[in-house]
Amino acid sequence: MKILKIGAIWCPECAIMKPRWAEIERDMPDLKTEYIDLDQQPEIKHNRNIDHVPTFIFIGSDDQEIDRLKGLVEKDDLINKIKEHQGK
Amino acid sequence: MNLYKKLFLSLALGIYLFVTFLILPAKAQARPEVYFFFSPTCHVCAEEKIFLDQLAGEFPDLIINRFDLTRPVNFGLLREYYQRYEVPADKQGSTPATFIDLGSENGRYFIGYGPSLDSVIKEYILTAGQTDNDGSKPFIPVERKFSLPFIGEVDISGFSPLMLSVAVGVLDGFNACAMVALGFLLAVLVSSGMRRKVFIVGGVFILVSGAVYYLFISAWLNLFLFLGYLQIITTVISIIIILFALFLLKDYISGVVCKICDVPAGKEGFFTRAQRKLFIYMSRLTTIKMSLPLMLLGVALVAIGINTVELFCSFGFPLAYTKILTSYDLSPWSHYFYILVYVIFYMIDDFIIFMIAVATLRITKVSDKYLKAVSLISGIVLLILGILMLFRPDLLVI
Repeated sequence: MKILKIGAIWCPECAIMKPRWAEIERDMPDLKTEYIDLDQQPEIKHNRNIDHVPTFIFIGSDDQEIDRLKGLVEKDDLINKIKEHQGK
Repeated sequence: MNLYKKLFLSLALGIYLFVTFLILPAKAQARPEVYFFFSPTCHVCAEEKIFLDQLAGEFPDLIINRFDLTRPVNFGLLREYYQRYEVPADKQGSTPATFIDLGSENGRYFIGYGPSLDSVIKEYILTAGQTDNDGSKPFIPVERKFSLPFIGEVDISGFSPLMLSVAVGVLDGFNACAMVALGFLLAVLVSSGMRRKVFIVGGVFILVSGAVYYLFISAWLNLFLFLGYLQIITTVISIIIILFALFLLKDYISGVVCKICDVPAGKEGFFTRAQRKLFIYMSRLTTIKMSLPLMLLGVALVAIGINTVELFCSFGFPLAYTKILTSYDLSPWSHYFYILVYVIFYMIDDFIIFMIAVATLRITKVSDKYLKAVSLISGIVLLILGILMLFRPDLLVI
């Protein structure tokens, strides 16, 4: 499983989520994440149907979307979601 | 003391005693009189004025004396009436204050005004005070209870300007706009890992935000002090507040928390673009290398910009607060004192988040779940305030 973190420099919620993700990534070194800036890759808006930033998309090994979260999410809720989809 | 002084003092004392014990009671016995103390900025007073005008038409014998409390001389007179009518200290200081003198030590006072008082005052004058068997000077409190669905009867008597400032300030402080802006700055600063930088830059941002808010509310206040007595202003403001509350509730229902975080299909509006640009400036300012004074200046300017734009996102509570505050009869300085209390309590949650960020170099668990709950509570409270301001403004002021 891989997580796409879609954000933008002007987005306050993205900035608040950044340190939360940094902590999770430090605690789970095997977790695969990728940050995509909406302004640098605007095509993602249509490709992944993005209507809000930040959006966190959980992608399975078959490259299909399993789940997504939007906005300010508590660290514990993120971890629970990651555990739920781990190994997919 | 020379003879002339003695003569002058005796004469003055004589005139005083003559007027006090002979002329005034005689006058009072002749015709019933109403002593009406009002503030020109208080809309409840304006309502009572209309009632008194009608009363004067119905009772041609009735003498109505009106005293504008913005004139210091009338304040002294009001104090005399408080003493004469034995008004308890906790009921003093509110407008309108009405004293009815039927002569022969027969009188009654009314603090505040509401439509329910019309018939009470009329009956009291009609029966020449006979409705009070003991002839005492009872206090009739204006009904300050109202029913809310699910909650029941709410009694808001004794809702002082201080309580109003604290309660509405705290509620306003939990708005998502302010929280998200501070969270953004702190998140960028925390990532630097420098506690001193978080403290100084974050502190400047909070101080400037508070100052901008203070100026904004003071401007509203002056506008309402100037125009607030016009009923149309109260009606328009109440409707704006109700609409604002409905928008907050709509946002809650449709799950919108951070409007600028939405990626709309069409073009963004001016405010959204301005906000985004300001956030980009703030992010750059705090991450590139520059001298601290220059950075602080930049952050202060960006804080002014962000807060000015965000005032449009959170004007509901300050609008309601300033309008209600002008309904109290307060001196100009106490208005500014209460606004300061409001802003301090408005900033209190930001200050807590800031102190936690300084101490732990982490951002607290602010989540959309929490911000959504805030917008629901804010929407409901604002809706109640707006409806009360429109239909029962007397309930909001002592």
